[in-house]
Amino acid sequence: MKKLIILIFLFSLNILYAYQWPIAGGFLTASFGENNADAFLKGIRISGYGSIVSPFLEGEIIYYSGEDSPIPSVIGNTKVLHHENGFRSIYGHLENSYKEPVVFMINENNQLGIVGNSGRSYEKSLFLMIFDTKMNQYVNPQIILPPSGDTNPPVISKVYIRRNGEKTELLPKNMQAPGKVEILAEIIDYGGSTHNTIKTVPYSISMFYLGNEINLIKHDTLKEERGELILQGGRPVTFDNLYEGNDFFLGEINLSSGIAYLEISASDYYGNNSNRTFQLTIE
Amino acid sequence: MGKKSFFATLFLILLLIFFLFPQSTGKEHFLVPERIINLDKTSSDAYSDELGQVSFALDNYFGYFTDELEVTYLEEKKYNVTISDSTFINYPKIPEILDVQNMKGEGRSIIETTGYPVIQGDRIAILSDSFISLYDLDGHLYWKKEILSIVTSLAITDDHVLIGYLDGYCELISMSGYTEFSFRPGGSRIEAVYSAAISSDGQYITVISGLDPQRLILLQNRKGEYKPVFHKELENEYRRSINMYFSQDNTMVFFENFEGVNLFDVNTKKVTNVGDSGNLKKIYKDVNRNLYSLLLSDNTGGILKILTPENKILLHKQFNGKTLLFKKRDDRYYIGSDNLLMYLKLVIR
Repeated sequence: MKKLIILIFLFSLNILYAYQWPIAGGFLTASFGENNADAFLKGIRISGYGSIVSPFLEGEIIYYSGEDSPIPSVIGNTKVLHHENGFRSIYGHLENSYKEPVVFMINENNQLGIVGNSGRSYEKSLFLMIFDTKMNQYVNPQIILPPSGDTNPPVISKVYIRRNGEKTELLPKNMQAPGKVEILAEIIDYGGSTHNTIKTVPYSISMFYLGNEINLIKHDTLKEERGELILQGGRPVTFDNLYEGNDFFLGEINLSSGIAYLEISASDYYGNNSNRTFQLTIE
Repeated sequence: MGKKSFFATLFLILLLIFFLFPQSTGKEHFLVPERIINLDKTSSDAYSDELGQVSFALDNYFGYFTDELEVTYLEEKKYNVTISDSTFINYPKIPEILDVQNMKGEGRSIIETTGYPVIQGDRIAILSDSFISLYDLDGHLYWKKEILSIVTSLAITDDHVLIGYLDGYCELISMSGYTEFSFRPGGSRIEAVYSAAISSDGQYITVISGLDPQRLILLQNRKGEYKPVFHKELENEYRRSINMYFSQDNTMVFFENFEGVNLFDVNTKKVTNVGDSGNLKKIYKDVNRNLYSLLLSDNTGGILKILTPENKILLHKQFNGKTLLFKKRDDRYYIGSDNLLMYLKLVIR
């Protein structure tokens, strides 16, 4: 119920405020919650060589940092806007402007900066994070930005079963011994129809066994609890409990004699969906 | 001559006297150049056997020099460098391993990380967009913490780390990673911490927070708890991280303003302004002479000033250059400007 309220809240904000992509014609190169050097990515990366960056919503510049900042920043030259609805948008990896901003109230038609590669980035891209100050959490920008025209469903390329540390790839039909096993999956979402070589993570992943939902992962928000970031939307999960390299850890199931079906499902932000079902004969 | 014209003439005469015979400070201050080095032309052959105690990072270079400005170690920056008077880390744009080296360039420890390092005293803080961690110089991890907000300021003492966040709060973390104190100043239309500093004895914390208004807050440690004891609305509002630090004797706090530098006396709670316009690069307090030496930078270069606490300018010297450095040891002034390092001696007659 709480999740539903949050989603309705975000949807209603989307209607109230006209959000826009900060780069015209930009495309996604990294998605919210993906593995970013052994931590959740707290925003999205948008590519667009030499492109002008505009705010995703009208707002006030409340912070900027450059190369001469007393604190080094892996997101490089940064500008932060505060918005009327309590959101803060953070724009990183900007090109160094050498100038301190003099106008602080800017709208969607104004230039905020130029896409750069400052900080921990070789390629020019914009790093966009949206922070909800009322809920004290990062919101996935893709939930609230207009659809990008992506028509490609996520690809569930490999699903693994792990028993006593030994990992085997699942086939459509499998013979298994009874007992507890762990399920891992390699799932990729190709971010858009025109730049479909860039791998990102899907919006949601679910796993069903014997008709029961074992796990549901959704990339809605990131919140801090006791010094750890928790991915929320589906079942709350920490980075270490979700990622094993590039694989998703989907959970543990208990195999008992008989024939059972394991179903993995993944969908993107625009309703494109993929399913894979595995028959497990347990003897 | 009417009364009005008499006073007007008298005023003009007094004005003329004031400009022709300005009040003497009694002593004149000079900076005498002792040595200048072009770092582009300094090779490894010039290295001395002596160990340089003064660290520098300037333009594309960093290293160490002696009191007499003999360069004892010189290296080009990979992407950036964090350096103290004993240790440095020269790190690439996309680090995976950090090589902690001593002032001779010898390996001291290795830290595996994707963040950017900051050396302060005997500690190394690693900052990433999603975590902050603290190590000693031998690469032993004290703690690692996932963070939600942008870090706007960082101050490290022997026992604690004080972190300021753009979310509007700051926290004091012990060596074991425990948050001993968390403070959200509030009181402004926009909540944000733009700077936080802690005295070396841990007695005081100062915070610059918020927009509309932007405020300076002083917290004092009373019976193990930090309590706000003073706050002041600031005339200038900054929207970036602000340089702020305690004097070595912990009696003064220096922080930038649009007109130079604010000097905040933690005992009298008085804020006075010295200097001129520009970004504060570095300030030193000469306790014996009760003077301030500071370097302010702008788009064209830097201005070195020696001032009294009453803002009387004793020395004013301009330097051109995009990257600037200022270090001071007693009466020895070391100024860096792009690829030039200068050693100047203060002479008072």
